[in-house]
Amino acid sequence: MFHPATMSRCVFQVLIRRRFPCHKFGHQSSLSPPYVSLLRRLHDGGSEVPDLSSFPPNMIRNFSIIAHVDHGKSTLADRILEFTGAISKDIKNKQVLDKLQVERERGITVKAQTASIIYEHQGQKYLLNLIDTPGHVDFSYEVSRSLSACEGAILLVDANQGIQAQTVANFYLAFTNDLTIIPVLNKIDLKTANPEAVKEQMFTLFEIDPDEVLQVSAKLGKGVTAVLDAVVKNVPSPAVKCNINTPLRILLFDSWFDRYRGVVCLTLVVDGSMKKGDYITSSHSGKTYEVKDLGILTPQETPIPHLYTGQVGYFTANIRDTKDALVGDTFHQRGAQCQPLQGFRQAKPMVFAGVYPMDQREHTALKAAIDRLCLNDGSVTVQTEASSALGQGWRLGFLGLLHIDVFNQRLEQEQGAQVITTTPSVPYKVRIRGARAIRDYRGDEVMVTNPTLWPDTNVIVETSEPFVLGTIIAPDDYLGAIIGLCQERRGVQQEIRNLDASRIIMMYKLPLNEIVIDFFDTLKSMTSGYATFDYEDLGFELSTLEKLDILLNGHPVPELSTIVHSSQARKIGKSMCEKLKDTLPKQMFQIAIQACIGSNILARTNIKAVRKDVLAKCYGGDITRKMKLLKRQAEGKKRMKMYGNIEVPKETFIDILKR
Amino acid sequence: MDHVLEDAMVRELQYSLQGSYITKVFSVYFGGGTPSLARPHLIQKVLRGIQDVCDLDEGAEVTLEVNPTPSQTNKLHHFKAAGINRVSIGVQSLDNDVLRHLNRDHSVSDAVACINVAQQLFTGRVSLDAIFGLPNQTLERWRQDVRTIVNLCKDHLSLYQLTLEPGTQLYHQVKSGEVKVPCVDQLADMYEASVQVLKDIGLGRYEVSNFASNYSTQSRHNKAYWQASQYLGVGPGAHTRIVPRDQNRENTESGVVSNKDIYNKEYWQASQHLDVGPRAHTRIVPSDNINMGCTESGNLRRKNTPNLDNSLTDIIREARVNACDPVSWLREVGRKGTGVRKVEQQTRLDVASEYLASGLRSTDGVTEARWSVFLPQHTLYDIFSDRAKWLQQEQLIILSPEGMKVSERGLNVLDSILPHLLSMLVEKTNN
Repeated sequence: MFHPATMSRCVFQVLIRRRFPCHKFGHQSSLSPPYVSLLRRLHDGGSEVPDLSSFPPNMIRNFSIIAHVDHGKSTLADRILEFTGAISKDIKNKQVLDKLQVERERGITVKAQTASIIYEHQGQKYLLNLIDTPGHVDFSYEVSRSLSACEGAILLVDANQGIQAQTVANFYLAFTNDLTIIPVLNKIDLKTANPEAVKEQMFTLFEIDPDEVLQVSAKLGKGVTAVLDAVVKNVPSPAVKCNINTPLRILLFDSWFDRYRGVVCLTLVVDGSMKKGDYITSSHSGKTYEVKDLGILTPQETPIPHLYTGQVGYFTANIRDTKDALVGDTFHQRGAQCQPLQGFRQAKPMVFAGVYPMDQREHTALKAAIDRLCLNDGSVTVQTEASSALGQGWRLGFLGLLHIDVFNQRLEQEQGAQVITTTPSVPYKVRIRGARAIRDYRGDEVMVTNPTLWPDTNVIVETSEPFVLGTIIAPDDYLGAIIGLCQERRGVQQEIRNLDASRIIMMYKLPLNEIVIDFFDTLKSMTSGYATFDYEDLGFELSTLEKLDILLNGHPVPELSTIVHSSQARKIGKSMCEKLKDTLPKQMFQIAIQACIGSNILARTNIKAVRKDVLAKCYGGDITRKMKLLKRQAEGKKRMKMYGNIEVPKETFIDILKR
Repeated sequence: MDHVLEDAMVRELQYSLQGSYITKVFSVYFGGGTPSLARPHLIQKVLRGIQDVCDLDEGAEVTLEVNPTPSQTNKLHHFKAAGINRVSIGVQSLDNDVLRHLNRDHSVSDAVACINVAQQLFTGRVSLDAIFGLPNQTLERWRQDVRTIVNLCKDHLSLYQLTLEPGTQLYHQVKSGEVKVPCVDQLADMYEASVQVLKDIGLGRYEVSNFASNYSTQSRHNKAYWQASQYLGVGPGAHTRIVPRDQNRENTESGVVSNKDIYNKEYWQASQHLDVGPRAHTRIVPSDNINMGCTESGNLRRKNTPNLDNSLTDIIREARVNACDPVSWLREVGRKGTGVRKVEQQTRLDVASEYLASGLRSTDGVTEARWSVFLPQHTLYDIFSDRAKWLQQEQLIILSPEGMKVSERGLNVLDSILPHLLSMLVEKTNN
């Protein structure tokens, strides 16, 4: 689209769950000695296989930890696991998972992981299921599905840094899921910790009673017992929503692909119980599967014969496609009547980008690489797309900005694919009129993800675009600058409050389109890195959108068309013209670059003609050399895209279109 | 040693002439980076060598490249006596700063003296070289320089723009920023200024980098290159384009083009030219010689046999390149009579492409008549009238029933035009 590729690699500093588990995960044979202790506890009866029948719903607590990145979520999770003997202290931090390179580079933590642990409280053994959630709102739908498997959440805040934008977004997600919140301050051992101030912030924002806030140092293991005690005491048991005696009903809240066993599903058994060999049916697809394997995560996969009501575990059923194991789906006993659990919807991609092989000969290899990644990530949508400038490629739909970044980086790092990724764009809704147009578009509402498919102006009734509610937390010195930025990005202020003596929290309604490219980078740099930002979807709203075309000497270049808000058209048009002026090579005649909407020209600039490109002498021996060069150049003309008489080299398109 | 080299040159020359259909030679050019190696005696030997095996046209242009050093200047009358009737003097500049930059071993006064002597000996047939685009050269200074040069001799001027060759000292100095050369726009200014200055003085541009006072002072030899004529290079690194005598095809069945037929066309006959001298130093880049193959004497085949109808792929000429290094060249000549290292067989399309690329450099352009010698299947008009319509509309090329030329402006941007035209030619001939 229009902005230079200023978006740096790290779009958001986020905490992301293992959305993309590797297949290495979970070989039960790799169980190392420390886990024996847990198994032994589970094997109370002395049998070889753990039996969870001794944990009825009222002895179970399902909870998660929500936190801003770097506030210590994974450390706390590690301590909890250590404390209950699930993992050994000796090999701390190396135990849980293989990490992906992309996650390491981005500082995205994946260590926190769904795990079942046994905790003794006042002489009673409780089964605690720590359910991990994706930390980022890109995956907010999935976060909310994960949270719906819980009754409580530990809200973890760094006592030094205080509440950050992500804390707010996650709190509201938990809050709307009716979870009991256990407020916890972390890193209280640090000199800079200011627990009182942060408690004050928590009160201001979330109305959390300062007396209820626990204080821990996850690093030192201080206060962890109190947290677990609070979980047992305050988090309701799943008994409130579970029935032991009704037919099986399970909620699928996470899944990943295993090369050998197919999709591995993480589930909460809401009603009834489940065992190996059961036939279960997906409410969404109607497909039936036989449960091949069943178990709990400790956090290693530990097979068990039964999962009972209110319990959390995994199963495999030879499901070969992650798209058949959608997060939020309800599975039930084959043939039984079942009311699906509420809240299921398919995650809708909100950010789109074209992905093309750098070299068309690698098309097939790239297709295979994309397919491999999609196996593990059913939320990416893939459509083939052909650009006359960039060749054959795909338009991929992602849940959000981080998602697109993670996907691309994995494509390059793990699959070794050389790709051109176009500037991300958002989907637009266009309502159209006229029998013919409606017939052509098969309906009166068109979802446009590619500007070249924008309907003709004559048939457009109204247009709408996706909006988000953005939360920004920053030192108040930057108030003016941030307001300026948000206004420039068509933001509408919803709320500004003081978080404490020096920090403010601002809520802005923003078009998603305005933040997909460089909003966060700009915000970060204008606040010297202090601001944090997060957003949640608000859905589509009416907006005046238009298609901005680029003309070269009057000839349109469809590849460079873009959808813009009418208020931004001139600015974007101007910057496109300038950018083209810098990247398009001079040609034999002057080129007029124009940006226009319909016949209305908004910006214009010229590229002067080449004045002289020839002088080298050409006698006997020079001719051979010259012909070689000319032959290559003539060959290149075949591949060169011409608009009227103007050649636009692929490099120019890449420069303009790439991120 | 001189004798050995000279004898080898004559030997190669005669060997090649006898292996061709050439019966008459119209121009001879003694060039190369070290013409001082050449003794007047060589000129005599070569010209006599030509006359031994074929005719040397009575009015043949016999040019010698000269560096304007006093010793060369002093020898000019001997060269004239040996048969030279035209000189090309490597003046480069009449600005002492510039000459120092170029590491020339002549001074401004040496050059002036040489020009004076040459004008007396070769009246109306003196050509000067001038170079621009030098470090720290300004437009005004260049304008002054070219004016001074051409005022000394108004017959013919060859204009060069400094090119930075990787590996040279200047190349490194420019890359490292130590030395600044004029930018693209300044170079364009300088070129345009030269065209104007020369025009004002009375020298017209008849090729991209060649200017002459009238038709008779134009270089007949160089024009042969731009018309894709046959030429025969002798000496290390020399290039040759020639229709070789085909022993096997002297009496071929009808319908198959024989080399003899091509040769008999009057245009081929009209221009046989000879390059003599160790040209390796100026005209050949070593990379050309990386893939040296064995010499195959002219045993011509069609490239895509057996489809004889596709006569675009007829082999009608050979492009040969001599061994670059004098020692190897000498050894080869001693062994086989020629120092050819690489032979490339050229199809009708290859030759037509060369004609197009080099012919458009001259203001005469390419003519339908000559084009039909190479590629009778398609006229220029058929190929380009529609495909190159936009180039005509932009007034870059001019297409007429007689042929095709580029405009004054088109000449400046010829390197941008040519790839388009060649691509169109390929497109047409692929159909």
